[in-house]
Amino acid sequence: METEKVVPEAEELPKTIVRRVVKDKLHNCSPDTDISVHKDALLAFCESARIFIHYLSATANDICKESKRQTINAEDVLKAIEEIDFTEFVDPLRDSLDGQLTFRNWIFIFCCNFPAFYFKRRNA
Amino acid sequence: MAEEAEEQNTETTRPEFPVGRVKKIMKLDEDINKVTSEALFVVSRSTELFLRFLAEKSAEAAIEKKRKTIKLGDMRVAVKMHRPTSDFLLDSLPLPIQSLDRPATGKARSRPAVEKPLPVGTRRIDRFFHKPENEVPVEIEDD
Repeated sequence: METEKVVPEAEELPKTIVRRVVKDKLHNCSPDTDISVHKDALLAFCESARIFIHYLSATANDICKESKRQTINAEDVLKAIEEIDFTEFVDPLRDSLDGQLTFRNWIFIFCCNFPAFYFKRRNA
Repeated sequence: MAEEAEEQNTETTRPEFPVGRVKKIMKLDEDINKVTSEALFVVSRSTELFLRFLAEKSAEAAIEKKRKTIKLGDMRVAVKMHRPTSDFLLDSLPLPIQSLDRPATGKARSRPAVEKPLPVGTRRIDRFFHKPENEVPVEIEDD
């Protein structure tokens, strides 16, 4: 880039990951057509994602503060999603969140019980 | 049991977004104090969904023009057509005819004339693009 960056690299989403997400979606939409992304457009995708994070976080933060809390929780973010009119995201997000929590619960249970499982298997 | 965990692992912890990076970006807003890990996950996943949505709409715009490469102009079309997205993003997208400028530096000259009334609980996105006082001035090379 010929211009100096105002925002340091550390506070941007990695281009490789943004490219992967975009290409994956394009491949799902049109498996027969190979759609590519111009490099300027890729940078714009990165920037758009960053702006979206700010926009969503700020909205969630306002919702959190209205409830007189200091820590933004998942419900604040989900309400913020509706607030910014991306309602179609809510259901997939809830599904992902439920799956995430179940996975973490499982890991927790596994770690707590691992010694027991280990010894049971040895003695079986 | 181990197989189930393996399945859930690939389904729920897809290595899409670096959560640490998302958190750093969020923390740039001084007003934001603490965030639960679930909230951080939802923000990351939302951003991924948003990117996928934007990609799809931009691709449609490109295909409409019989092209197979998404360009900036296609993204502008996609953003303009979706009101929730254009509310916060249209001003920040660079115009296709100029070289890609950082939206933070471009913000000062492309302010909309009419201020739209804000929905409850939101604030303008351009609050984030005020340069901090201790920042080194940006040097722009002339070609």
